Amino acid sequence: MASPSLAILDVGHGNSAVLRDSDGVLVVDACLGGLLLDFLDQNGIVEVHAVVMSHADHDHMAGVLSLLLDSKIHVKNIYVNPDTRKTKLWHELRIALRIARRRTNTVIHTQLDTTVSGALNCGMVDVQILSPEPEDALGGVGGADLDGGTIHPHTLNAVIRLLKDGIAFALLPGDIDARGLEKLLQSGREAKSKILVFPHHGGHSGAHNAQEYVSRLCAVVQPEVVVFSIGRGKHDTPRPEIVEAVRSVAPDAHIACTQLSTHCAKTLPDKDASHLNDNPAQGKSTNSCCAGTILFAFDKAGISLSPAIVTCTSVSSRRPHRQLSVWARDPSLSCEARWSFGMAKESPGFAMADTPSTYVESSLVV
Amino acid sequence: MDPKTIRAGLQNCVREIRGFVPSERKPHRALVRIDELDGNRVTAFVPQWNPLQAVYFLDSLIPEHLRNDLVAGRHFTAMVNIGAKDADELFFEDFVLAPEPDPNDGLS
Repeated sequence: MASPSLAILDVGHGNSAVLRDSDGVLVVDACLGGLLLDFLDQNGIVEVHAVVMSHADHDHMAGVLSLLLDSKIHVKNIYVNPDTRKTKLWHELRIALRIARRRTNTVIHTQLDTTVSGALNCGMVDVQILSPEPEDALGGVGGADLDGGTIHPHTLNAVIRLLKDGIAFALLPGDIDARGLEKLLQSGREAKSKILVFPHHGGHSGAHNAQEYVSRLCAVVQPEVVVFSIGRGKHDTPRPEIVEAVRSVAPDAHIACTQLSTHCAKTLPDKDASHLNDNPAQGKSTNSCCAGTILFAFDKAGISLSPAIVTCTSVSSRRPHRQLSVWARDPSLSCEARWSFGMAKESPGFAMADTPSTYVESSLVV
Repeated sequence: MDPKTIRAGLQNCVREIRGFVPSERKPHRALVRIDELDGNRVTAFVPQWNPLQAVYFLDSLIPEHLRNDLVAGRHFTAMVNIGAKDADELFFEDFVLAPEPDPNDGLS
């Protein structure tokens, strides 16, 4: 029986994750373009047990249309909360669903809340829905919650947590906003997880106090790896103040961006990205991957990561013996290293004194 | 166009003929929303490529028996290279008229 694996795809600006479990495949969100289809094709996946849509923004949803319309793929179930904004894209999702239902009898589940936890399991991984609560989901986007507040799309965003053998290894919170996070905290549900795919790609969450939002999120999740799924040059992500806030709350967490942020490297590197795994990644064709598509696979030692995390010990005089975690591409381009050392964004080079001295590949132990 | 560019283009053609089609040129079934008609010029949106950017093509791409359905607001599906970076790299083929949503799908 194959061990589960989770792929966080480099789709550019957007989100898409694929959980391959012993009895089936789960897709969480799907962005524009054909990257997800390329990933499924390369890995010989023709049947998807369930597609879960955290919310109906196009950078999380447009690719679901591609899945539903692809004649080679059978989507058995789709889970989504109705979105009363009635955008054109929502209308088009419904057209694609009608086509998929006619072709392969795709089942539409119009309830994606905490009561669905467990129903999405397709093997060894327990799929939990931490948010929204059913009473909020019933109010719907644009409706009112029980406190009388308006429910915004990102408040009703589904938060998904994955566990294996009782250990939470990934939290996929979509683009949950501050109010949604507040509701999650109020529910008292456990949200701790080793891997956090950061909401809003490290951009504005709509919170009045972004640092407080980050602090509360990281405090409850206690991540060991924080992934920013970004498109290089799009929307200025991840924003330095967000990364800085993550670093202050979770100082030992490894940070990875799927693509090289312009905050880290104003120009693309000349050398090829030989550290990437073989899976498709949006940034490969333009040499703009940082971590690229990230694969978390279970093995006897715990969770192995590909590309591997490189842990290094800094010899910086400013922060001696500081442990850094960078991806293997080029430490001098690491956003984390740059921001950790408080270097100016415009700084064209990386001071030799800050060059990490030792590198050790590491994996997460569960 | 210099010889180097022509050689690179021919090499790309050979690679594609052998089946190594880059993601940017792989066709996938996609929805096409007709937005406007101006003579034989069609303005449309391909939400799986970019829901916010209009694209343009000639109505001759649409099979003749579907031309009466070529009205603003209608949807077709077509094979489109939705991984294309720019609009002028998009190609369209095999247009099919798309149905309207199911009013009883629970999502309206």
